Amino acid sequence: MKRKNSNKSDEQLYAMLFGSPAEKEIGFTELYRRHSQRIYQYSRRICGDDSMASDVLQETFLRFLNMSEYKSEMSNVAAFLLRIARNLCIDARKKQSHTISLDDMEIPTHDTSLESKELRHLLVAALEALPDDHKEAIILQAYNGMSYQEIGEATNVPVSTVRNWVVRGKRKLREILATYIQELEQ
Amino acid sequence: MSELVYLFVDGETTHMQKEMLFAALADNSDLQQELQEAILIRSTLEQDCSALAVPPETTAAIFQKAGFALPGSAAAGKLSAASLIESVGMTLKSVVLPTLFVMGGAVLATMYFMLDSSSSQMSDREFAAPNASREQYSALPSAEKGALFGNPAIGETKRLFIGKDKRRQTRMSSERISSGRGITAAVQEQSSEMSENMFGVRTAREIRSENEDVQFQMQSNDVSAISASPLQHIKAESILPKFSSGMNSIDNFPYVLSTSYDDGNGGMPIAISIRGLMNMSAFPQQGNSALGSEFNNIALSIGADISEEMRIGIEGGRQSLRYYTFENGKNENAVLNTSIDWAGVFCRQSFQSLTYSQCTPYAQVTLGGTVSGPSGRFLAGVRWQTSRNFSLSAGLEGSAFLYQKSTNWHSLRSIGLMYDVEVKF
Repeated sequence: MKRKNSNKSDEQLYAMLFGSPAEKEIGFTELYRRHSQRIYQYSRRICGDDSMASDVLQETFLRFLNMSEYKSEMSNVAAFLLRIARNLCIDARKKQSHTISLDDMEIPTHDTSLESKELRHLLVAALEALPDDHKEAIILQAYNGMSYQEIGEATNVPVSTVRNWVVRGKRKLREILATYIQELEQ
Repeated sequence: MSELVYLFVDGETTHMQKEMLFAALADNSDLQQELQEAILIRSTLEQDCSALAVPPETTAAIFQKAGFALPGSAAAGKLSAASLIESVGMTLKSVVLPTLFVMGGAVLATMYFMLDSSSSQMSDREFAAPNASREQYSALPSAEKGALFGNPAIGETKRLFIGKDKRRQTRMSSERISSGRGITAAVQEQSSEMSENMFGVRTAREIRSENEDVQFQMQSNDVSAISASPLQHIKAESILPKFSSGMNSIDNFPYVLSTSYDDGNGGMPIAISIRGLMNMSAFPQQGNSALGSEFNNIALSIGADISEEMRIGIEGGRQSLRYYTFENGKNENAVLNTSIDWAGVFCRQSFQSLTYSQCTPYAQVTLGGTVSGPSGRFLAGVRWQTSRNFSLSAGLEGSAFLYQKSTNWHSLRSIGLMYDVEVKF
């Protein structure tokens, strides 16, 4: 049963939301399994806070479920979900004072953490220093595995703009992390 | 050329751009360094991505609100047949539990009638007595109350009971009391007159014969006189000898006056009730699934009146609320719970001054717990006293349960309509 559902496309699963309660549950469960992780990762890094990311994820899927009662066809479920999450994150960030969460500010230690873990913490902290559009482009590209074209469609900007955001953002990250990376190499 | 490095790492270069990049990398160490660092950044971002997992609590909350079973749990992804079986089960539950509720009420009512049948002859009159008359006694100075309890003449009547002038004496007592001469004076005078007419011990047959005669006349004449008396609230047998059972009624005389909720048998009045609840809303919101409308709320309580308006006791029950428990914090090990058992102590405050047409408003607070954590309940309703020992209630009931997942405390709350059947023994 699970395998049978996993072979279905997002559009087919979406269509199941209009079926019987059992079909609706199966369709929603499979769509959640496919997309929840990406939406959460995106929300977590954009919002910078666990609880806020959880709220965004929750609201995203509940809105998605409610909207499915009015929207009979869906061509791109992933993009639709991302659009909902993105709007929610924008609203959340407007309300949120610009702070970096304690998780992100965790100071690397050399006792138990691996160097890669230290680098990861630093990288996450460096992401916060980027302009919002640069950060979002990098997150969508690296976390959600989206192409520049898909990011452009999701954010309503030309592909060339996305390319500039990603490249400039990564250059900025490299500059921030340069000292630490050089120490690693030594 | 630097831009091509990042495009290449992201897989966004064309074939021509790749060739250009490779050509440049061949003799440019800075570009090689930049490529290495771009790859490092990319891989680090991917590691961070994989480290971010959706918290199980969040998944549980989403599916709880959506009204679906949690993915990986036993109830998830059921076939239509399974759903049908589940809905049939829920339907049966919705029939069986109310039936149990009604049967429980019937058992309580039966217990009441069986236990109360021997002493219920005067219950209607007692039930009809207004509380104001009790307050009249309560308002007496303590010295006068003490006189009632300490009057040796009353004790005397336990052994030497009169028959001849009994009817006249009791009527006179009632009239004297009615005319405002005071309970103490009336009782003392009555006892004194009783003592003056003592001619010795009568035979049981004589006493029975006279009692029957007086009882018959009482039914036609004296009831109205007693009813008009300020002491109408007091059990008739406390002023009038209980003719059907001899002198025992006199034993109860001081006791009847000293308790607000006397049942004639002594001791603290005990009440048992069975209560149902129809959930109107739950928080976090429950989905519109079959489980959401499940009838699975029932409570049993036993309490004792500690004052005229206050009762304390214990109660316990089961309430339908959907929540998840986890093993090892993984969704795959989540268990969907559809009900929660609770127990606690309660305190109920009745508002007698607001009684209207035998309906008395009241409020109750229950504090207790479940196996998962503390719980609290508050209910407010109106009790309809259909008879002295039997009452029905209806109102609103709210409940809150705390439970712990991982290190965080979460709460389940609900509000609903409450209905209650109570028997007082």
